[in-house]
Amino acid sequence: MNQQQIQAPKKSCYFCSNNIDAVDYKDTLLMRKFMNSQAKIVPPRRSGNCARHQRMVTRSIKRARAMALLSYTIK
Amino acid sequence: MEYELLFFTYASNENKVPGIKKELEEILTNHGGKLSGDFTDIGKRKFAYPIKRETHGYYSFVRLTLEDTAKLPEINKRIGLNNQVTRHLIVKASEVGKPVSASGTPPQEIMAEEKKIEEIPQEKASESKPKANMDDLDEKLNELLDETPS
Repeated sequence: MNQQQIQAPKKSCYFCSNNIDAVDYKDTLLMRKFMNSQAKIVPPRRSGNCARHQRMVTRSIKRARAMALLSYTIK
Repeated sequence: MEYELLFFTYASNENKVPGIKKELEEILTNHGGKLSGDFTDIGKRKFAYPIKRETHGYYSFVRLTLEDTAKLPEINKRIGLNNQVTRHLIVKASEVGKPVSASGTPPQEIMAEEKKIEEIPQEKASESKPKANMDDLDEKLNELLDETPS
């Protein structure tokens, strides 16, 4: 069987396309976009973020969690 | 180097916030920090998870410049020893982006802007959904009315 993989169109990085150069840890609504329903951080292969901006997002999400602005888990 | 300091206390300590700010300012200036502008209040906010059974906190943050970076651990320690401050966070301002505070727009408005951006598609969705629902309902009602008369 020759299974052909269907390639999904590549998503572009949200921050690169919007020229955002810093992710504010207080901006919870923005970071929510990059978390799934269980409040896990979405991997870049799903969000389309580039490596540099994914690092910024994860860092600010972790900061916001420590400050109780975002939750660690949603059951 | 420019930094941003965010702290919060339990909402039950809300009336002590001015005093806390003064103490923090003292700690910062004693260690060579310089506040750029006043504290910006985010205000009372619900915690994402309960902390020691408390559900609400009062948040505030300020930008500051500090030349002697080596004093940061000491500042962190001193703020941590303050019992009124539940938790705090000092980060480089460059990692946070443009100053939200000082004379500019308060944080609530920025969050509101974000909300607006998110709301627009939702509104469209909600507009289209009710219409579809209304059509569906009409059809169902007609069916029911056709069926029931006997």
